[in-house]
Order: sequence, then structure tokens, then C-alpha cells
Amino acid sequence: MMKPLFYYLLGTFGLVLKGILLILLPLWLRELARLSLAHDRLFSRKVLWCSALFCLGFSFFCTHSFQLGLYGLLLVPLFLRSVVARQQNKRKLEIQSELISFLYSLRGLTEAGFSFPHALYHLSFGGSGQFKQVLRSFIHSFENGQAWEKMFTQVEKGEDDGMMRSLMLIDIAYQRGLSLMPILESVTSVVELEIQAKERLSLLKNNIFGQALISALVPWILLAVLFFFQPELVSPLLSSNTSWWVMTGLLGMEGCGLWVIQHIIRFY
Amino acid sequence: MGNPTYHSILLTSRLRVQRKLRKQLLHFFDLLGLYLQVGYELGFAWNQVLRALKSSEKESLLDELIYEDTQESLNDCLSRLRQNFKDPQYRIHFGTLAQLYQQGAPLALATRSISQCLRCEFERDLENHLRKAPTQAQILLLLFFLPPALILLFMPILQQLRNLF
Repeated sequence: MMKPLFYYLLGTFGLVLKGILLILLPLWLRELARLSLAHDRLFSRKVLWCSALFCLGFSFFCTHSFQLGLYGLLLVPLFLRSVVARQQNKRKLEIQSELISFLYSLRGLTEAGFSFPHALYHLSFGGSGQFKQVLRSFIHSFENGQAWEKMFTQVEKGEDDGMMRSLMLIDIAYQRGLSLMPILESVTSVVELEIQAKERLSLLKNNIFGQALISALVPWILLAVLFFFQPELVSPLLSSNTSWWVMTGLLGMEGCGLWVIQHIIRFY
Repeated sequence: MGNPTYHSILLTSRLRVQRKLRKQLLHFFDLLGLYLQVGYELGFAWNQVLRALKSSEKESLLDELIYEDTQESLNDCLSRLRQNFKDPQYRIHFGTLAQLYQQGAPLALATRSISQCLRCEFERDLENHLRKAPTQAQILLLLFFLPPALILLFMPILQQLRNLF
């Protein structure tokens, strides 16, 4: 009786567990997850093999079967992937918001009469943040003789949408002795509109997906609560094969619903 | 023939591919305009921008715009795009560029106008999507999550009734 209930609870609340772990996970483990999926494929394969062996071993040790391990095999890669995606997304959002304030400051300093390199030096000092760190590394590389274009190309590979490419064009304009104000105005307005659009889409996605997750989990939570207060009502369900098939079908339906909703709310 | 995903059967996928194409065209014309503003010639700027976009996009839908690898000139490329670009609604932009290029007119303002036009289109589409998506999501929530909720809540009671009778 306890075995099926244990599998049921773990299988049903796997997503909740993943969500909670994401919030409570220590930084070192998040960095490990980021390494495993962001850069080194061999490392990620090793992590997946180890996690598979760990899940199967843990499952066998606790329950003398490998069924529980199958849940772990499904959850661990999803978990690692979502941790990495969250970290990368957070970093991108931080850089984007800092980029806008940087461009406005650069415009202001250029209007005030600062030259481009002077303005960059001025803006790179003070404060912290992902973008400032990138800018400081630029300045450092520039002092060591590396060209701006090469630096921008290297950074571009890690970032998206060619925002850094816009900065490269500002540098080209400066090298040709052209006025920077028209370029800065164009670049600032383009980048700002893109970031605003991304933020609105992200807000829509988070709201709707949050509602969908809550709608998916609430019935199961209520069933668990009902089981806790009136086990005699729920126990016959858990011992019947038909009920397990029905519940699996309902889980599948909810999963389909989540997939369809995700498909509908995506803009690109 | 173009990208296979462009001819997908599902309407939603096709709409998404159209949006991706518009996004890439928008980036293309934005950057092209900036290069022209800085003072580069159209042919050089065209190739530079395409190279840069190809390296940054996962799936480039602008392969039709490449003429560097073929024996084509930029003029021929613009004429070809005016007639045969995969999405007919954007052919007019390439037609405008082709005409101005043939006449030797300045192109920076024209490119900026094209990118503004694409941007307005993008904003309209985005507003439309943001307006419709919550309603569609609510309907899907009702369709996919209400039945499981009702079944899960009433299943124990129905089971009890079934056992009684």
C-alpha cells in the first residue's frame, strides 16, 4: 500500500520538488549545472551518466526496484537544463537592462563633449553588474593592444541579437571621425524597443504559465489533502488499477495542456 | 526553394516562421541602415551584415539575400529579390532599394524607413498577440485542466457510490 502511494507522491509532485530546489539550490551547484550544459558536452554526459547511476542505485537501495530511478532519470536532466536556462536568461536580462542605461549615459556624455574612449572609461568604473564587468574587460584588453572589433566579436558569441554589434558600429563611426549622436540615437531606440518587447513577452509567458502550473497542481494537492483527512475515501482509488490508468491519463492530459499553452503563448 | 520549415503545414508554425523572418529582416535593415549611416557602400554593408547575422542566428532565413558566393551582382540580387523573395509582402522593400540603388540615390534614409515600417508591423503583431494570448490560454486552461480537476475531486465519491450500488 505504501509503495504505490510513495511513487504516486513522488511522480505527481516531481515538478513542485524541482521548482523548490531551483529556489533553494546553493550557488556552487547552480554553477555546476551551468558548466555541465553550457560549455562541455563531455562533462554533461558524465554528469548524466553519474546521475543515472545514482538514481538507479538510490532507487534500488530504498525500494529494491528501479522504478523510482526512472523518475530521477526524467527529472535530473530536465532539472539541470532548466537551472542553466534560468541562469543564462537572468544574465541576459541583466546585461540588457544595463545596456540601455549605458547607452543613455554614453549619449549624455557625448553630448556634454566627452570623446568616445573617455566616455567608455568613465562609464566602466563604479558599480557592478554583468555589463560593467564586460566593459571593464574590454578596456583592459584595449589597454593591452587588442582592437575593439575583435573584442566585440568575442563577446557577441556569448550574447544574443547582435546588441554588441551596435556598439561596434559606434566604434567604427568614431574611427572614421563621424558624429556619434545620430548613431547613438538610432542604436538606443532600436535596442530599447527590442528589450521592451522581450520584457512584455516574458511577462505574458510567466503569468500564463504560472496560472497553468497552479491549475495543474491544485487538483492533486486537494486529492492529497483529502487522502490525509479522509483516507478511507481515497484508499480504494489507489488500490484500483483502473484508477491508476485514469490518473495517468489525467496527468497526460495536463501535460498536453501545458505543452499546447506553451506553444500558443510563444511569439517566435 | 527556401527553408523547409517555411512550408510547414501547421498554421501556428508558419506564423512563427513568418515572425522569425520579419525579425531577421528587421535586424538586417537596422544594421544595414547603421552601416550606411556610418558611410559604408551598400554592397560592402550588405555582405558584412549578412555575415554577422548568419553567425549569430541559430537558423538563418535570409539565405536568399546572399549573392557573394554566386556570380550575381548586387543589382541582380535586388532585382531577383524584388520578384522572387519568399514572402511577397516584403518584395516591395527590395524593389525600392533596387530602384534607388540603380539611380545612385542615398540609401540610408530609405533603409531606415524600411526598418521603421517593419518595426511598426512587429509592434502591431506583438500588441495583437498580447491581446489574444491570455484569452486563448484561459480557454485552453478550461479545456485541459478543468476536466482533470473535476474527475480527481469527484472520483473518490463516485467510487464510493459505485461500491454502495
